[in-house]
Amino acid sequence: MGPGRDKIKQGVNIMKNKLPLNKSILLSAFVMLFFTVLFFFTEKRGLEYTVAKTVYAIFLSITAFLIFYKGEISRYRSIFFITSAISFIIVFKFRLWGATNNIFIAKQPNMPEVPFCHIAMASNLFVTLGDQIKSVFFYGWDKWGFYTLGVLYVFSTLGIGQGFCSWACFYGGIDEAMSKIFNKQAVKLNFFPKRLRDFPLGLWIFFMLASIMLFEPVFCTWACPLKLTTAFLNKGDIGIYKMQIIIFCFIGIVFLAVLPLILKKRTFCSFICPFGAFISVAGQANPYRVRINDTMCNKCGICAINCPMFAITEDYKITSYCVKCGACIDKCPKKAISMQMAGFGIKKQEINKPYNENVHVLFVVSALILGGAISSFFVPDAMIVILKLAGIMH
Amino acid sequence: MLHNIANALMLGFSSGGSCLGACTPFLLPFLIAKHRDLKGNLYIVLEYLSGRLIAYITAGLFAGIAGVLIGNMKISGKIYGGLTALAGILMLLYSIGIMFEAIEKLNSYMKFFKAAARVPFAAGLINGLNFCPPFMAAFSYTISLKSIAGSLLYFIVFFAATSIYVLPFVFTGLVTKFEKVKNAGRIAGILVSIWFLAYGVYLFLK
Repeated sequence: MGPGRDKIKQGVNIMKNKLPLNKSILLSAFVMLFFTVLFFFTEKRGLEYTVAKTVYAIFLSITAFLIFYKGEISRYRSIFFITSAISFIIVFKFRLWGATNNIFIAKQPNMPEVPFCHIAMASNLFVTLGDQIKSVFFYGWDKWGFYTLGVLYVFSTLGIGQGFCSWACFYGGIDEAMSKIFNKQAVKLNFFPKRLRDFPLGLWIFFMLASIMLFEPVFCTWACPLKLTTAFLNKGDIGIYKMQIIIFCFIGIVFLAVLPLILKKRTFCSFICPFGAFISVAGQANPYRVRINDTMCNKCGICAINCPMFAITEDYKITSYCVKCGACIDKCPKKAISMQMAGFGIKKQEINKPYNENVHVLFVVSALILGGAISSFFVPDAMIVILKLAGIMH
Repeated sequence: MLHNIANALMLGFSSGGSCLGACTPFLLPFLIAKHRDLKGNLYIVLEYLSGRLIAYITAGLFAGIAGVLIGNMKISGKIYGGLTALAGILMLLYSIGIMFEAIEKLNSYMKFFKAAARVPFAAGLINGLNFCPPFMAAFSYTISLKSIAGSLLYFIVFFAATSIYVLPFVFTGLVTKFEKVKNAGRIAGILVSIWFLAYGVYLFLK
């Protein structure tokens, strides 16, 4: 199991991947410039919205600066990531409240649904795949509707791979926030048997098969705890409705609240999320890999303690469930873990490569840009909602 | 006669996608839970299809006799529910058998679960009697033929046309060299069988 979390705090000399001040400023200025240009060309909704977007661009730029200058990916990524998830909930709830006067499950017809998200896309893959291909060929890009999201997810898979789950997923931040509440693991469980760790893949296959059979997104109608926040597809049988509520509550309480609190891990993302399972396979097409240099590794176990995804095996190998959050890279006392890039001389026999600053920078900037671009659809809105609720803005 | 064959072919080809939807949940976990070469997978698919063929011949015979003797008849949804639950139980036995085999424990119980190794045939047999809309269309049409031979021929042609969609499953063996896929297949097999069992019981009690 390795040593406990206390050892991390007992002055283990953690060398960090810090960048010099001038490089850090330059990179954060690039991030600022990117988002300024992006926001300038996107929809304009008045001064208040422009100010909110500018504030968000500054926030992203500061995040980039801190990641590079302080040499800690995970801490500052986490702040950005949790902000994104909380903003999504605020905006969605606010719209739901405006439409139905209810922030929990509403029974009114024609109420706003949670968007057809990447999780639904993965679990319903076989059913929607044909429609997505058709939409790409036969319609204008702005008329694809939710299929456009499918293309975006494929694009992000190629761009940052499994990094989507820790940089761009607007649900993952809920799990991450819960896992950060306590400082200590109440239950020390850091390694998982390989056979059981593959459970989400089996679950994903099951959801895809059941979705084909019933021709409906079975994960959304039966297992997504986020559906507790809105209406869902079943409008008929009351017995089934009650059963669905029980399952939503069970998964929500156990995997989004209790287990993240006691294990300090993202248990919903690790064991339930179909998109997490999908991207652990599809993300292999992506060139970024987090590797442990086994000549430098002293097998202290600190990486496994800090990994939120049970992605490190007992023989200290990083599996495809790694979401590239940077926690192990930051905490490794021997600096034995680093981001590598396939196609740049990384072969199976060449995994013991040293830290590469260019790969590190390229990944962080790409991930922050993708995550920032997706979250810019709701973070500025959330700022305005908060100001309105606080009575500062009307 | 030629008209009936063309009709069965058209119905089979056009509803093959729907048949695929019904067959995939049964067949895929069987195929990816264990590594086999193409020949081994072909054997499983053929075993499944032979079960399905017998089911279709039975249905054809039944529809033919019903057409000659009764003229018309209705099938209760409870039969489908019962068959689905039965398929779920068989699949569960098979999946547990594969899981035990993989874990290499509980050898004394293996004999019992090895008996479930003929499950692909049984699953094909039960799944063949899946009362989906195309199957019901074929059934209603063959009753109206009022001929046992005509009805049998219709169902055999219908079977051949829909089976074409199932054959590509043979190639799923290509991914089973990865341990991760096999683990996932075993877990999916257990989940799918529990789901079929619950769904079957629900339909039966409804």
